[in-house]
Amino acid sequence: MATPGQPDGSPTTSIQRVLVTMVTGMLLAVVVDAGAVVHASAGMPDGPVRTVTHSIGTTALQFAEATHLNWPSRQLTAILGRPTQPSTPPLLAAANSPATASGGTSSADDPPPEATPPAATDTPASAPAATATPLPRPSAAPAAGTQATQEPATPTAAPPPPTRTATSAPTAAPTATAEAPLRRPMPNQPLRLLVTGDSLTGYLGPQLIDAAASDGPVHGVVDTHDGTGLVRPDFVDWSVVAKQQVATDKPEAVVVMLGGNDDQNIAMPDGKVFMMGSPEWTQEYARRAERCLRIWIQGGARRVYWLSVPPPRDHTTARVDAQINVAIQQAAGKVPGAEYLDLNDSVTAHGQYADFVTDGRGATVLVREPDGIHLNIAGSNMVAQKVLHVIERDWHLDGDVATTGPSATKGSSR
Amino acid sequence: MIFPTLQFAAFFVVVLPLSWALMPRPRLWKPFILLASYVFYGSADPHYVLLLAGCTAWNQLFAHLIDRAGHEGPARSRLLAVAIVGDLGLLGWFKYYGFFVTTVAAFTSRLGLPIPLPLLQVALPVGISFFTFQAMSYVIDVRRGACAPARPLDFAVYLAFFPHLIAGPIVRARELIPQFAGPRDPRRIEAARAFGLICGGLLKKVLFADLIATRLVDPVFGAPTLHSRLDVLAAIYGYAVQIYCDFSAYSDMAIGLALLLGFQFPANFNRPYAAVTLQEFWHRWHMSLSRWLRDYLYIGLGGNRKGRARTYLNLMLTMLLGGLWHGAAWHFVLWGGLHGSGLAVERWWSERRGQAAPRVPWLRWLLTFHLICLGWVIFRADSLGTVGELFQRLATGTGPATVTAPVLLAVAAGLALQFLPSFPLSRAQAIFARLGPLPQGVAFATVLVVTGVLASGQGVAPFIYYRF
Repeated sequence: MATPGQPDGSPTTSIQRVLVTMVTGMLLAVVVDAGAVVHASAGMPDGPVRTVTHSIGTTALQFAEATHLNWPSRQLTAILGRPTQPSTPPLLAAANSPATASGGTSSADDPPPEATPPAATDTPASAPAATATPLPRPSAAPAAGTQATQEPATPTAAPPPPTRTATSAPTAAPTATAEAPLRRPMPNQPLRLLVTGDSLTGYLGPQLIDAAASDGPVHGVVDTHDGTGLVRPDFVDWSVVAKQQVATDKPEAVVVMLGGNDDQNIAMPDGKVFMMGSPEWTQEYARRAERCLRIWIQGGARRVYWLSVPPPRDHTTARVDAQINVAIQQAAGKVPGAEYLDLNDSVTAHGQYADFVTDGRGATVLVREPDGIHLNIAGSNMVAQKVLHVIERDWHLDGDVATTGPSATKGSSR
Repeated sequence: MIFPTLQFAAFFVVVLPLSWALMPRPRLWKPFILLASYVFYGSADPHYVLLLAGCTAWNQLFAHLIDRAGHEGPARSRLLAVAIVGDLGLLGWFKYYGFFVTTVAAFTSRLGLPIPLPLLQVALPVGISFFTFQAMSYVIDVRRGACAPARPLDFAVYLAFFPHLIAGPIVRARELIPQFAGPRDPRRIEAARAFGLICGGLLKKVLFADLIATRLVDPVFGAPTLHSRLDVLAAIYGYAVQIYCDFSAYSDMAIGLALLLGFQFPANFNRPYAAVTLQEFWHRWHMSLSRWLRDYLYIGLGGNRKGRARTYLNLMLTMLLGGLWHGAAWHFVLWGGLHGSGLAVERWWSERRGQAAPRVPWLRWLLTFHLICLGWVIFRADSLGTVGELFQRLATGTGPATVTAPVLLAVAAGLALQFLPSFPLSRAQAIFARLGPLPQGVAFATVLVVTGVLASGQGVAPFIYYRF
């Protein structure tokens, strides 16, 4: 080691040359990989930093495409098989005014609203190969709207009764409509279980598939996309993610936990901005959730269990998350095979945020990470046990330990 | 704000030229770099800037009080004790309160004597373990007479200097503060070494650490019962590579950034898995922490000057507390205990056999490496139950392996890095240094684009030591 404060004999140069090297390198990288800059800006919270980054990225992208300077980046992306985000996110392309979008039939591209869930099959729905790109969680921030239509509303709107809502001792029939019975998973044909969502599934996913596989034959996949949600399909479009999941994983049961980054206003393609928590915001959120649900169901999933977002410590965000739960409940109520699972009885204090809760044995358990948003390992385990009860109820896992189908984890699941 | 992000790139590209522009005027440069460091630290949560400033004021106050106490040994020691209690109190409150409360509550509950303790979840400020240790080393050095109290602004800059603030290296006051004494020479920047460290760090992080984490280690450690013995074995070796590539990448980038700003940090890693003994491992792994533990804890406890039994006890205490420094959880304590036991056995063995070279050196390396890997399993696992599951699967895990050839190649290449001679790197740096600034920029851009595309599938994951 060199003596601190003294160069150790390696070549030295002047600060002027260093600055030229650094600025040249950065400018060249921004131009060659301009698409990544534009994409990164889409994941930033609204504000001047995002605006500046987006402007730089789009300008660089135009220049790179005109001069073909982005050729190396595109070739490398193709060689490495890295995913790219569609230029027009389907969730946005399908958007309509919330008043007419009810039921999720806002465009011809949307799945039909009353599609009957298909019988269990290995054949997924046809789906594009495009996929979404998980990136680090953007900090949630309200959008700087150009045409704000509503002020945030107090989230007191009563949700419509869900088709099915899990209780602590679920015994009700799983669906109201007639459907083929669910198959009983066997060791040579394990249940294909997908656990997906944002960073809220970071601990939950592995714990749930581990616990489920200890109960019966299960092939589990965890697909975590940190920093994503339904509010910003320009960053990551969950309808694209869902299509790719049904194409590659062919899940029969999907567990979704999403919404931790969605405390932001929704910007529509026509320039309207729905303030977070407003009735229009909730309606548009429900439309997007419903669209994703239909993609999973029509892609072969017999059950989609969408978990509520546990209220975070921050009161403002907690109010938005309550509206997210209302929207999820609405969406699940419209899609046969979908079920909204309310977690309030497991990791909250009567629906309110709590760091510590009392578990089934009467012990006081810390269930949250210090950030006041995520569940810690113990909290995730409590949620996993609750979801597992519902999966056991529906799929009759009989206690055979899975001997086939190792699990997989995709995305950034740290 | 972590290093491999657009936000940090924008921050640094502004700070670097301004820093050099103001460098000839220390009265302007020091407030500027302090402000820049506080902006860097406050980007995660501005409130914690007050904590950092408070820690600075507390330790600076006691450094001066100790110095003014003159030669009165007991008074100086009492003042030092108060300063250390304050530092440890800060660390204890933010890092260990929850661990303490839940442990005591569980223990008393088992005894049938539930004691109601205030249940609070305290958020952990980023980098608190690092800057608290740096502050303690400063007041201890002042007490020992190893350095004089610094000027308040110098000490504030030393503690907050953004390249080392979040995850080290743990730089001593007497190593960095003298470098603030006068302007750095803008004609003598070790740019080739700096860019080499930054680019190497980026590649290690994205090409090895993140790839191995997402494709192998996280799935296997998350659900061990679903994986074959080959997966588990690959994940155990994989985590050894992941944590090295992750942490050393951060250190390399920190050292490189400091070099571009004109300052030298001590090295933090030196091919640790090439070590043939645990003692050698700790001379090569997180060297700045090892030095800190040795100089301020092990020697403070008496080192090897108080008899054989006390030496072993001191070794064990040092490593147990070193384990606890990494996190408030029992598995970190157990990890420290494993290393403490290993070091004690090594010491006992070398005392018995003398300093004779081992008859089969590669066997000794193999044993040491696998002991380190065992330690990493305990370090990484969420619980002791997971450790048991992992080793059970290692013995009995049948079924098809899911680990892919590219991931195995990354693990093998990451281990091979430990045994590469250093001359190719120094040769590459020499070639880079001979290039003009524009070709250098093209080379730098190539690394940025490659790492950007590699990271596009998953993003850059937070550094492991970021949470410590």
